[in-house]
Amino acid sequence: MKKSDIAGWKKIFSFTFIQNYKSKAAIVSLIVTCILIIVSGPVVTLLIGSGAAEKLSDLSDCKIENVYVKNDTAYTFDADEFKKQEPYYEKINFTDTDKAPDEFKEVFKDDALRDIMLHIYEDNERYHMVFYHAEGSELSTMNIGMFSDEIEDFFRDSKMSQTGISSEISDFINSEINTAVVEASDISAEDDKEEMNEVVMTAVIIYACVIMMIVLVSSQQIAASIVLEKSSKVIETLLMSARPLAIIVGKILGTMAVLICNCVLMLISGLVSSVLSAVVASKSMEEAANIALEALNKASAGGTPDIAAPVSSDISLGRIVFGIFAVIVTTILAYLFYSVISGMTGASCSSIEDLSSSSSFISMMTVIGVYMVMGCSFINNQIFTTVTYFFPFSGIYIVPIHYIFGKASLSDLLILWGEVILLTALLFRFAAKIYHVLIYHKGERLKLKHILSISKSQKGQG
Amino acid sequence: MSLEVTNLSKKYGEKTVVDNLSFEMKNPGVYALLGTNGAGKTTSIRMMLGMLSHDTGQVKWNGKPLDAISCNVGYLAEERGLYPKCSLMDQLIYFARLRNVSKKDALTRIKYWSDRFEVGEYIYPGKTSKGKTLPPKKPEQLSKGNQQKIQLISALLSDPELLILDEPLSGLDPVNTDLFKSVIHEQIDKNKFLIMSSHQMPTIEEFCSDITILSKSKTVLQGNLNDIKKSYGRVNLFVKCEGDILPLVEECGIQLLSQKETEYKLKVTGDEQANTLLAKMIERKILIIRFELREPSLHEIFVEKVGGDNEEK
Repeated sequence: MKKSDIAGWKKIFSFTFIQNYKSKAAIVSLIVTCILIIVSGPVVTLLIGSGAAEKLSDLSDCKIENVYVKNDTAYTFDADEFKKQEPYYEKINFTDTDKAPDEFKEVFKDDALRDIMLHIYEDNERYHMVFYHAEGSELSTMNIGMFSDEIEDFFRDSKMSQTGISSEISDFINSEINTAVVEASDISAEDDKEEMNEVVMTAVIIYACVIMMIVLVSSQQIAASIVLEKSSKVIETLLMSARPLAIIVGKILGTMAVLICNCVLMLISGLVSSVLSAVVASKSMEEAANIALEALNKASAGGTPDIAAPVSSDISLGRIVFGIFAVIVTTILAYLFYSVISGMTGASCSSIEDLSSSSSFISMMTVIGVYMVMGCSFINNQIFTTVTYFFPFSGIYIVPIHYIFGKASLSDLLILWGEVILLTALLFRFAAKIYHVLIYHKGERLKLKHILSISKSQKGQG
Repeated sequence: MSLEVTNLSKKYGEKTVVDNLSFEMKNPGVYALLGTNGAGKTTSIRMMLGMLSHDTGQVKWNGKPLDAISCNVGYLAEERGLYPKCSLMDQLIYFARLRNVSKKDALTRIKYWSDRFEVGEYIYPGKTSKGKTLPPKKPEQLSKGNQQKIQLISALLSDPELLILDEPLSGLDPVNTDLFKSVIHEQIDKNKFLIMSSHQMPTIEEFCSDITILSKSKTVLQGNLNDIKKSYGRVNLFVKCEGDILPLVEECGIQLLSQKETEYKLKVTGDEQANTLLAKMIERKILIIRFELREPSLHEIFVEKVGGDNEEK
């Protein structure tokens, strides 16, 4: 390959870049995407904020006023003891009743929108608790659900104590048995690792999807633009002024610049969105936070709210920073790798109709890569993981993310980069050899065997 | 300046598509590259421009290897095409920039050529009767002839020293054909070197001084057009008269090529045979409307040279 082979690529690059932004369809889709990103943040915040406030307000006060208890079991239900154990429900009036469930409807005919009728009965050695409420009750599902949970626990404990079994013995008998299979190297912090694995898996899948989209969209774009130039016969005019390699280099880099600009615009939209979300949140979330604090204070006297602890990890800032760099480099390498393939794919076709069948190789390898990555995440087998890391079509989707989370080493990352660079260079060299023949090809779509035979016939060139 | 093509050959697998093509253009003017479809004209042009690699041979422009990217060459390809959705102005500037023409010069030249070819309304935004701005047309909205004009403009934007025109007049109406011809004449007057490939023999005869005829990848005839014609001699006799001259034609041993009522196309062995026929016609008092003894046309030479080869196919 000579320097003159890529002369003129800058002009092709700028034309590709500018023309993309002169396309109304491209501009409209970019604007719509950016608007969606900007709007989605504050809207979601508003929805979550108001939803959270609503839920928390449900918890702040106990809305239940009267509970009518029909106990058809041998065990007594001590309402005073319940209120003592659960101060949150101390204001509720518990009343025993003899009414049959059919008669409960009569009770709810009047204004009993904050009342509950509880029927406890025994049937086939099983106990049942049925909570009835009025149609159009002011009590939310959450109100009744929480109350029923507490009643169930209390009744179970009462049953035990009345039988003569202490709660400790009951817990001991009913304690769950967990089983786990752990590798010797993973002996420490199993729980943390499990949580960590879920985070890594999510990150890998998100990253793989993003890369897959970039690769598929850009490959299709590059191949389609080459086919368009061939089918519209512009290629003949272009080849007069630039070598085939300059054309493909200009196109690949032009498309990459478009992608980068689009990503930057979307990132800026994301930042704007988060700023707007913060502004929106400062109003609605403030309300929600106040209610939450109140609820927590009340709950601390009795029940313990279940707040998920954040995932702890020992990832250093340096690794995260280098990891982000690794993600960017891998994305660029993946893009270049697939772009060279799609350049040849486009050149081997004479019409847009041929392109869909010709692109199947790229689609197939992308899907295989992503499936391998998913398999690797689920199976967690060392050999399969190694294969996935070093098979370039799958490694690009997983290694940088695994590196950030400390599951892949720097050498794994460097080996993958080396492989992808080497393969891209070899493909580029191969393309340099055959591209000027492919670009003039008209007629039936060229298959791999044809391309290889062209390559053989071009021995010594390129 | 001169163009020198020596032993240019190209093979695709076992098939030879151009076999030892050689010719030289020492002076400005138009050189014709002729041949049947698939004879190897376009492949030869692509190889000359360096768009396609060649197995053997060399192409020199001013004594140095011709490189279309670094030399100022214009090319109107046989397979013409434009980006269907891109504005014409953008495309013309792009093609000019690829030929290393500055944007300023490109804009000036686009203006000149768009006026010359009367395509300004497609390149520049127009205005409606109410004063509203109309966007310029997209290539896909242009007729084939207008697209061809745009292509020729793009080939001329770099003001090339060497201009290669592959079938420049195909598909044009008579008015546009004359427009194209006038531009070609203008280039000849500017002492430009032109290589033209065409199937329209009268056009070639109008412009070209030297020709090469290719058939099945091989050169079958080459040289100065006038010399070639002279070498054939004045053997074509065209007669239009009032009366039947067939008995006289037979009497003189002249070959009858075709007859349409009283118009005869004949082939004579030389001036003497033609004069004998003329004398006999005067003697029989046959009214002669036209009696023309001429060299064979390029069309006839072409058919004679490559017709046999094609029949073999």
